[in-house]
Amino acid sequence: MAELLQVKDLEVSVEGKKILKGINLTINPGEIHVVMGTNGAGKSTLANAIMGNPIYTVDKGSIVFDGNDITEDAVNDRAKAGIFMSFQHPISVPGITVENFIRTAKSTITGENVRALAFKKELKAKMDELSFDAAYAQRYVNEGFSGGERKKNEILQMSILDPKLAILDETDSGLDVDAVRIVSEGVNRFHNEKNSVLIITHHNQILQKLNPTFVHVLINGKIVKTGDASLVKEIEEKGYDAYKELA
Amino acid sequence: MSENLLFNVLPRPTFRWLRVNHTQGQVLGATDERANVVINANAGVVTPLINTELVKATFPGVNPTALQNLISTGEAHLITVPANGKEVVIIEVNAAKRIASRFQFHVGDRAELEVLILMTGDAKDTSVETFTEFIIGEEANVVVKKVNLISEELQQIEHRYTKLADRANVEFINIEIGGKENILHFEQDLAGEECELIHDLAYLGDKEQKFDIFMLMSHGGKKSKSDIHTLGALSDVSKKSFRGTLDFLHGATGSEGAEEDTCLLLDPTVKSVSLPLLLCKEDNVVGNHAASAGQLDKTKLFYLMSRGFSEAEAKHIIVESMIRPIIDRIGNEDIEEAALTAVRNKI
Repeated sequence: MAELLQVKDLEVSVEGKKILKGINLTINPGEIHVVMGTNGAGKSTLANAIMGNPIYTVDKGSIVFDGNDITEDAVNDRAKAGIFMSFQHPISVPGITVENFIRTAKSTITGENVRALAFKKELKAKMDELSFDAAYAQRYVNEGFSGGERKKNEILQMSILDPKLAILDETDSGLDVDAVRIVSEGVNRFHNEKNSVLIITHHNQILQKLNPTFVHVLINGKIVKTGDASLVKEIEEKGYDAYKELA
Repeated sequence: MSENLLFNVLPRPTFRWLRVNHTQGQVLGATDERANVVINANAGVVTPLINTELVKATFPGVNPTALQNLISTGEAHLITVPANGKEVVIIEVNAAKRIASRFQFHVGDRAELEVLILMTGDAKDTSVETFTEFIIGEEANVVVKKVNLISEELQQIEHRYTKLADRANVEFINIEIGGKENILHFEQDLAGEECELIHDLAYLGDKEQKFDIFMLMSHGGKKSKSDIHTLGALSDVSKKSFRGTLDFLHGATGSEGAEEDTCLLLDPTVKSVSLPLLLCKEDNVVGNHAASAGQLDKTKLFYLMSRGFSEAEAKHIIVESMIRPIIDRIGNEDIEEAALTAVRNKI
């Protein structure tokens, strides 16, 4: 099976400060990868670098997605190639309704006209699955939304845009138990043998409903340990201090 | 009237070297042949305005000379809504030639009035000049929505004066998109107790467009409230100047006022001047002012591009998203669509 994502020896800095110091990561279709680590370890930097946030500078290494080197590609080209990122702090876009935003985004990404009626039905069904009040479809994107509603909106976008790789950057942060459950169920419904999910987190709550293929521990800009789902329990028991000496 | 005039003079001048106390300019085509506006209203609501006196004798408008010239050369209408009445008035301004129109609104106690002013037209090198006066009775509700879609080869001058009685409620919405030079002057006397006035103004400037905005909220009544919000975006070498004043007069105890000016700078060559001013002669009042001018939010740009939009498309969305909430309040689908189309054509 061809790799979906290959991150090779990636070094990334922001404003001259080196954050990632040689990351190697391979994600195959159908896999769920989890990156865990302390605050400031570089988890969100990894997510942003894969998505192509221009604030971050790639100093070394490459990112290959679906067989193509995307290291220099623009953010929107990566989105069109099939990468989606759920933001830790989703921003509001007043003036654009949720429905219009997602429909236009889908049309832009697929290059196809998205029929209004069929889209409305799909949107309603996906919102129901997320216990997301359908009235929010007519509200401006994230305007006046609570933290939980913003995260649900991210998962809603993910499920409709249907990317090959979904990166969830601390989607579980700031959510209550019920919201985490709804979000993780949404990720479960989205995931299949053809797509992949990269979850950035430092909590294990979101992982209880998911079955990660690989878990990586990221400390001080380096992946210091990779294992299966049992590594989550090990981290919970030992804490991150046990891995700091490996960095 | 080709003389140089001082427009929108600040009520209390600041340092001269700042060059913000007024704007210097001329009224274009002040003697040109003019066209009349079309007013759609119920029978009997609109009559000719015979009395040429100002509602407030000292109201200067954009400039006293320019205002007097409009009064002496323009058309004039009196719009009357009796007590407890409910009226909708639509004013269509088609600037095929110079426009010089005065409207005096008398809104009775507990009456409701909605006014929609749509400005279009493609005349050149002349002016679209309007003067509106509102005398608003107790507990009356007035909403005025103005959409400016005139050609960018026209000068637009607006003089507006409003006086509110006790518990009157007023909402002004301005969408300013057209016009090469827009000089707008709004003075509001919040004379009544617990009266309230909200003024939201959105603008979008490109090329050499200018927006010179003057707003004065004079709080005279106890517990009166005012809220100003101007917001917009500038590109190319366009300019915006905002002079907003909250004036708390003697007796305005318990009053609250807020003013906020937000400007998105799309090019380094644009110019945005913001002068929020607070004047106070009364204790126990609350005045808030804020001004922000900044470039595109990179995080927002990244968020939108991560959803597949190109950088140019993302910029369009950001600018449209700023202005659209105000456009959405027009309440007329055709006009909203026309305004949105004008916005999209500019960004």
